[in-house]
Amino acid sequence: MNKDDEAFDAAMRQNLRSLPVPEGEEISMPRRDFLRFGVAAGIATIGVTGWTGWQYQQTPTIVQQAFAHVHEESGLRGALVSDAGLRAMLGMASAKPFPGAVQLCKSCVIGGHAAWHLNTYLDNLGVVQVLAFKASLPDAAGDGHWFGHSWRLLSLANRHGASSTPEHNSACAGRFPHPNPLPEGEGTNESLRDFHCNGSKVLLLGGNVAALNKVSASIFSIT
Amino acid sequence: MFNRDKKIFDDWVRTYRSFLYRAAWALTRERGAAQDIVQETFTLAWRARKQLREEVTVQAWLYRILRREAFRSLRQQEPWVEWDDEVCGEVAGTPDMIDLRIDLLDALQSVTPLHREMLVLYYLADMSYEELALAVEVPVGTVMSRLNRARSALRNVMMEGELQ
Repeated sequence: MNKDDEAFDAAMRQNLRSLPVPEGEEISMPRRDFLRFGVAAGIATIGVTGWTGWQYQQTPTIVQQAFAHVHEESGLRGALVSDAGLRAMLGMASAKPFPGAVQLCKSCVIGGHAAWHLNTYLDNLGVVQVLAFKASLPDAAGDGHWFGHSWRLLSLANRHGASSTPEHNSACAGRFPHPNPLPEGEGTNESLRDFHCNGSKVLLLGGNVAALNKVSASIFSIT
Repeated sequence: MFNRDKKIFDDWVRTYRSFLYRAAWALTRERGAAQDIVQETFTLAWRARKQLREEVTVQAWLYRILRREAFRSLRQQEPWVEWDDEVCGEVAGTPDMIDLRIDLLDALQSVTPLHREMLVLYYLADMSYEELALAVEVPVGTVMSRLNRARSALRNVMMEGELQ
């Protein structure tokens, strides 16, 4: 490299290195990914916890217990009950057909309350669980959602206009004789009678409101 | 852990910011773009810091990232930006020095981008040929020949400017 080259390089070097750099301009450190992830996870946790708490707060205990019960019995299937048979059992031969295909019909205990547990499969709407409680419940009627499922608690008027006395129950038993053959165990008959004779609560659980509407319309038509 | 990371990052900024900024400016001819490129370079470098290998110096590695950003910016840039005023307005020095810098920056734009970056690295950074090779990701022999041609090209451009 000759002297001219060296001088040229020196001049170029000096001029490029004297290009002004703006002062005071901050180069910010990128936020750490795990920090962002942590913040997002924290917000998500708070959101999910809050939403879960809100769901529990808004949903009556008996409904929560019913969902747990249905979950436990989710694998249970009974013999299909024909519509005519079911209506005969319910003493509603003239009422409109009970919707769907009834798959399960048994006596259960939910949160310490005896109930008649029935489920029916509706085309395109899925399974609706019908829980008819023998005794009246302290929870008021209402409806809502529980982790993606719908529920509706119905108060059925006593169709006989009388309180649930032993005499009244006896009269009901006479009016609604035990179905023969029994769908599922002895307790079912008792529940079926209670369902008609007592002013009780019926809880419907299903995947969507439309399914509940369909079943509740049918239930009100027989009460 | 955060304090240690912050210290490393601050060291990078303190040591290489000026070099990167001048390189980005010389490559793109635009100061605003240079600032953005430098910020983006530090951001990308920090996020990918685990990929920094021992055989590459931090300076060469940062430049690798910067050149990609600079060439990306060049593709999006307006073909010709008037910039005498922004340089003259802020650069300290005699009018002759300012003129020389403007001539130099103009001359750099007259050579090909590959020659330009070779000159920018050669004049701005005290890198060996090996480091230059790592920075621009070509063999050492290519660096030497490319640098030689780049200097000749720049010199010719500068001389033509003087004659006019």
